[in-house]
Amino acid sequence: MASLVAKREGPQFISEVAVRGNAGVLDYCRTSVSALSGATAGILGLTALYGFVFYFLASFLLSLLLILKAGRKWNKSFKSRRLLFTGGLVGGLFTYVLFWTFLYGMVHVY
Amino acid sequence: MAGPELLLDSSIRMWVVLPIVFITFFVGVIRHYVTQLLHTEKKVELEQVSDSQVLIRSRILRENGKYIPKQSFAMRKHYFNDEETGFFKKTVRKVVAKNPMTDPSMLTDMMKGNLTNVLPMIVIGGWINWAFSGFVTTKVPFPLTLRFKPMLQRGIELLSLDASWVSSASWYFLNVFGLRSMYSLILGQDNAADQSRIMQDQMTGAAMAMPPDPNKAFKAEWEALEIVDHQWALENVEEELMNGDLNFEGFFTGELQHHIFS
Repeated sequence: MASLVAKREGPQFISEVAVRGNAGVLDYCRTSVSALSGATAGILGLTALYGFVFYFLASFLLSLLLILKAGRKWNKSFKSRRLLFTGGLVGGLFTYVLFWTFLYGMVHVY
Repeated sequence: MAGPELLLDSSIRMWVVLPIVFITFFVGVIRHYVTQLLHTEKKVELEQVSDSQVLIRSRILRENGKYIPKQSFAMRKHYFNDEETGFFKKTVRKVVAKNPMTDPSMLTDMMKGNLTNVLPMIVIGGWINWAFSGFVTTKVPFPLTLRFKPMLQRGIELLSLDASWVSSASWYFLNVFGLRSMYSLILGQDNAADQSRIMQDQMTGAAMAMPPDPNKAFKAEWEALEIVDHQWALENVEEELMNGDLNFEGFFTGELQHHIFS
């Protein structure tokens, strides 16, 4: 992930390009995880509540992995850690539901 | 309820579900490329550009003024704010009110935006509703209340059917919303197939254009610059540097040979 903070104390110079690049990477990860977990949920045949719980579990797992990857120097790449947790949750939810419904239909209905 | 209650024909799967997915996806991709083709650069006046640059320069002065000596700051402030010769006091621009309804360039932009985004969705939604109606398409994995039935089961006249069994139109809309984030995976950032982004841009784009009254902007900037107080942040910088640890350990390579008195 691109580093965006100058290496000194005092006011920080933030590179806009790097911020957007990092946000894009996060978005990519989030979408991929949503799609794959949706596919898994569909194949497994999870219904209703279990399905949604599975989505939040998978998102939480993704957040943990991202925090692990960002390491101790996370504030060199991100303004706040909350973004790693909640970025793109709702968009991911839609993608998840789509893939979930699709594979559930493919596997269990037909 | 466990397990599927209805048995659906496999040809529905092959000829309805998959085609709808492909149609939605490819229409989105085509929309992206069409938007790029039809995109015309917004023409900006030279004066507008220079005005906005002056405002940016004044704002930077306000924010970073504490890094330059007092005299330099006073000199720059004088250039902007002086009573007779200051830039903000002297320049009075002719005010051209830009009515969004009659301004031709903005109107075509709005029309183009609406056309490329809303129209395909309506057209294809209607076509799918007409072509693929009268049968159950798929089952959503979560239970829905009966209130959703008329919305999701257009064309299926069964009163006792579970609300989870949906028609093709609802499958189409599910696709539209779900594939939105997939577009950024495949088309890269800033793609034009993402409707929600475009709607957001429309709302903030009006604020980004130069306000039609540069005089007001100048006056506001003048006031802001007047009240700025110059606190030199670098005042004691020599003291701080000498007081801190200078870390000379690995600084020099090799020992200096003292040949002077040997």
